[in-house]
Formats: sequence, C-alpha cells, structure tokens
Amino acid sequence: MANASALKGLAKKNRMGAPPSEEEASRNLDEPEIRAPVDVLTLSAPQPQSSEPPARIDARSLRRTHRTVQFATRVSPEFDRRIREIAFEEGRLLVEVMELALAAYERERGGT
Amino acid sequence: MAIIAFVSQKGGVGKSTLSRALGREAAKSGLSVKIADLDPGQGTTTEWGRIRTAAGIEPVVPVQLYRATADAMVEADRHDLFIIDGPAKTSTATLDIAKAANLVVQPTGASRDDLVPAVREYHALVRKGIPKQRLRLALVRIGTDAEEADARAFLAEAGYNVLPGSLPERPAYRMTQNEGRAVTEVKFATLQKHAEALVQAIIDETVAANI
Repeated sequence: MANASALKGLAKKNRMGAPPSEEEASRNLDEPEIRAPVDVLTLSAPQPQSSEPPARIDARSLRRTHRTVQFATRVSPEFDRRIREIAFEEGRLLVEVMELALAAYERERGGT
Repeated sequence: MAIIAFVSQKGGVGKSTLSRALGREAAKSGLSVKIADLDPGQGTTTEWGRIRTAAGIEPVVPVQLYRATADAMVEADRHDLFIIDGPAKTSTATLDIAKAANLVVQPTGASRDDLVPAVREYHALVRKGIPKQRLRLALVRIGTDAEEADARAFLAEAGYNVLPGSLPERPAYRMTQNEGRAVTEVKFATLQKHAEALVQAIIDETVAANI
C-alpha cells in the first residue's frame, strides 16, 4: 500500500492567514524624516571622564560619563502638568524644555 | 565598502541588536566598521557603545549618533562596513538608505502583528524601485520552531527572502547587551551559535546580493 501521509501537510493552510497585497503597501516612505534637535548630539556627545577615581568601582561607576548631574527639586502640580504637556506636544525631554526655559529667562533679563 | 541597513517601522524589533552583533563580528575580523545610530531620540546603540568602551570590552565597536540620514551617508565610504541602525520609524529617509545599502534587513517578530507591517514596508520599498533581492527579513524573539515555520511560510507567500537562522527569545541576550556586549558574545554556547549563524547569514547574503 502506498504511503500517502506526506500529502497531508500540503492541504494545510498557513495559520497566519494571507499576507497583505502589494496594494496595501505602507505609505510611510512619503513621510518626512524627523530630524533631531541640534542639541541632541551635544547632549549625547562623550564628555571627558573625571580624573578623580570613583570612590567605589562597580558597574554604575564604570558606566558614569559625568555628562549629567542629578537635579531634583519639588514643583507645584500645575508646573509639573504644564511642563510635561509641553514636552509631550513638542516631542522633547523634560530637561530640554527646562534648558530652553532657562535660555529664554536669561534672554528676557538681558543675561548671557 | 559595504552598507548594511537595519530598518523597521517599529521599535524593539531587533535593529540595534543585529547592528551591534554585526559591528562586533566585523570589528573582530579586522574590518574598519562604524555603526551609524540614526535614532537620536533614543540613542540606544550609542549608549551601548559607551558602556562597552567604559568596560574595556574588545574589540572596540565604533558607534556614532547622527541627527539625520544625510549626515551619516556622506561618511559611509570611509569604512569597510557601514552599518545603519535605523530609527523606529520609516520615512523618505528609509528610501534613501535602501537605495544606498548593499543589503536591507528588517528584523521582525513572528506574530502577525509584527509580520503584516513588515511586509507592508517592503511592499512600499519595492514599489519605489528597490529590488527584492536586496531586501531580507530576520526573525527575532522566536518562541518555538512551529512559530518560526509559520512566520517563514507567511513571508515566503508575501514574496520576500528570510535570512536563514533566527534569534530565540531569551533574557540572556538582553542581559548580555546591558553589559555592552553583543548577542554574539553571550556566554551560553547554544545562544551564541544562533546569533553567530544569523550574523553570518547577513554577511553571506550581502555578498550574494551584490555579485
């Protein structure tokens, strides 16, 4: 008797269903590229390491770049809500909004 | 000089994972290589490169963050291999990348939610004149052999080439990359073999697509 079991799989449909047709091509290639703000590269550029050896050498101290410092403060709920709204609307980091706000403040009062 | 680009409309699919692994293997082979990190909003591969350098891991894998695709492309011919780690968003720049690249790799998971958008992106590139023989899909975050087989069948039916091999879904790959290492440097032999096979396939198919 012939062994026809190999034919069994042929009738089986792909469980994923049909792939999209060429008419369903994405339209993203007509969208403009989102360019990063100029200061992004500045923020990301490697900075010189501190010459001071860390008090304790561990994974965290090895990763530390001294590019940023901790900055913590308490703000009103309204300030928190507003700055987050601006950051969300403009696709910026909170720190970027704060840096722009500081620059505007200094311009306003005639500083640097 | 070769340009290999990793593109996708989605984030977290494996563009950076494969860029880093390819960069590491090329550097290990003595090639002049650079990874162009084109996702300045996140800069994850740049950060990975920084961690790798700080930890003193050899070989050094140069990574540079660029604001825009055009800024990166002018530097491409200065290296034996220029790897483009694209942003998690396709755009007109994706077409520019695909035109310049010797091979375009789109990593994808095996779910229909991952595969359908991946196929639609490649349909769009083909419609704009990119030859299919320069487009590949790489299967990553694979759970089972059956899942991989289904995904391969789906993509074959869609008319696209899938790289041989795949990356299984394993926390060890993430942990390895957290330390600044590439997935080809994972300490588990079987997982390393999977990663090396996939990277080798990218290299082999780049050569084959450009003969």
